[in-house]
Amino acid sequence: MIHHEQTKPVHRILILGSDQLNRKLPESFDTQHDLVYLNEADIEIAGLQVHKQRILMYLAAMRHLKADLEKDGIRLLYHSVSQPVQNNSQRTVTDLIHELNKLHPQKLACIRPGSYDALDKLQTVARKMKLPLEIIEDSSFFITPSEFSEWATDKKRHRQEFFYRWMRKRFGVLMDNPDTHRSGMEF
Amino acid sequence: MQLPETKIVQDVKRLISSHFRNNPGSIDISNLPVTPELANRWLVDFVNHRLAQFGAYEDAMWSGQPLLYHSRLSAPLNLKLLDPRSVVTMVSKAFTEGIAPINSAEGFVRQVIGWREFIHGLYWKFMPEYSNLNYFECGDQDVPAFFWNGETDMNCVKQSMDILLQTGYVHHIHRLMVFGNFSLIAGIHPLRFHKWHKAMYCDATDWASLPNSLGMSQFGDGGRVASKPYCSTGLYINKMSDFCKKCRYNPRKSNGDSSCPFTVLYFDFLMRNRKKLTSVARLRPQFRNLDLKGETERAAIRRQADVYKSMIAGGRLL
Repeated sequence: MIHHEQTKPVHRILILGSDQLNRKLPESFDTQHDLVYLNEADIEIAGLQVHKQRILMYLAAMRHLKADLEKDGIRLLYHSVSQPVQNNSQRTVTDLIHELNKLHPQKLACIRPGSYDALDKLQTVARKMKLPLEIIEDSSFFITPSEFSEWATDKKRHRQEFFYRWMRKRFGVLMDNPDTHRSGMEF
Repeated sequence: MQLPETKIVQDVKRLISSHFRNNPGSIDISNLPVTPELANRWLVDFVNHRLAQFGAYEDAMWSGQPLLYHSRLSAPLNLKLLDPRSVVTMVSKAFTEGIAPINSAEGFVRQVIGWREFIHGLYWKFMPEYSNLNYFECGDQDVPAFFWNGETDMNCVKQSMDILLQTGYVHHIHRLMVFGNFSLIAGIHPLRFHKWHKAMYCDATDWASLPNSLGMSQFGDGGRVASKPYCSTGLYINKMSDFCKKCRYNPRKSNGDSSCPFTVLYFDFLMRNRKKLTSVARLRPQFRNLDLKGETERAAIRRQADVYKSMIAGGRLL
């Protein structure tokens, strides 16, 4: 299933991951000239023993996002999976390049992906297409990885307790109350 | 709280029944917050009905009580259907208004602005080499078959698997002290444990799973995330749950037929990895305890551990 208008030129393609289902697109997204790309094959279900509830959660949530973006008139290229697809990373790179090239974009963009491999893949795609890739930090986190690195620099050991105290001060959360000491052992 | 099933959920369920019917787990029950609006309903439900008790019971496990007082907001948060700011705001407000005590509100907020951001930051700081870390130099042993199908006599694992197979979720103590603990002391490869974790949980994105599973739970990073390995005998599980009462294994026994695999493998783990664990101050009492056992008892534990480990490797019922 492919949804896009062939006629209007695309300036920038925003490639979203299967875990980036925030309804608020990045501020820089230009509804006139930009297009969103989403592919269900991203959830890596082929050849893997993935839990049915996980497949249900991801696919249903992605399809709901698709419906909402369409309602808002966002230009969208969306791929559904109707069957398990082989997730060969070499092939997905080639396929993705082929597909994106058809739209003749001038730029690629992504929100920082949920995995290093996904970022690596997008960087490979951009390099091969000779296009710039803008990595937009995910607004669904309080701080960016580089802000974290600033905290972590010159610390021999990174302990959650100290980080948490720093975060509370920074964001003024529950500051009037005593620090109850607990070990951080949570998922 | 049961969420309504959207038309899209029904369509995807049909797709799964026809094309993914051999995958693990079940979708007979579906109660997933697949939109921002549904995720917000879960948040409100948690704050109004469970948050107050969260702090007191967050480390407990109980038969027939899969959720206890947990929020189960990790999946909608990690799929970005819910903004952590609105979660923190609502929980802080519940504290200010006297709906939730400080230990609950603070304990929960810590997870969101503390632990979650900490894990995300560490992931990007240490990747890509982080995924290759294997502090205990484990061999390529994969997770046991019962991590996929739940067929085991260990009641704690069976009960946890029942919840996991039905919902794609169990709370952190099941993950850390049942599944994670078992993998760690049985010598499962830490990356294998992460891959299993990623496959079986709705909330397990790579950035969330890797530092939590390979790092904190399996101590594969040698202590970058956690200050000690989360290993224990069956006695800890007995203290935190009602599972052991109905189990054919005895958490007090460390060898023989009814010996609890957790207890056996725990002592075996300490013996196998003594050198690598000497720097961990928090385990010193455990080593003193081990040394109090005679050499005959330690040899019996080792023999029993070998039996259990070969059963795991051979895919036999444990």
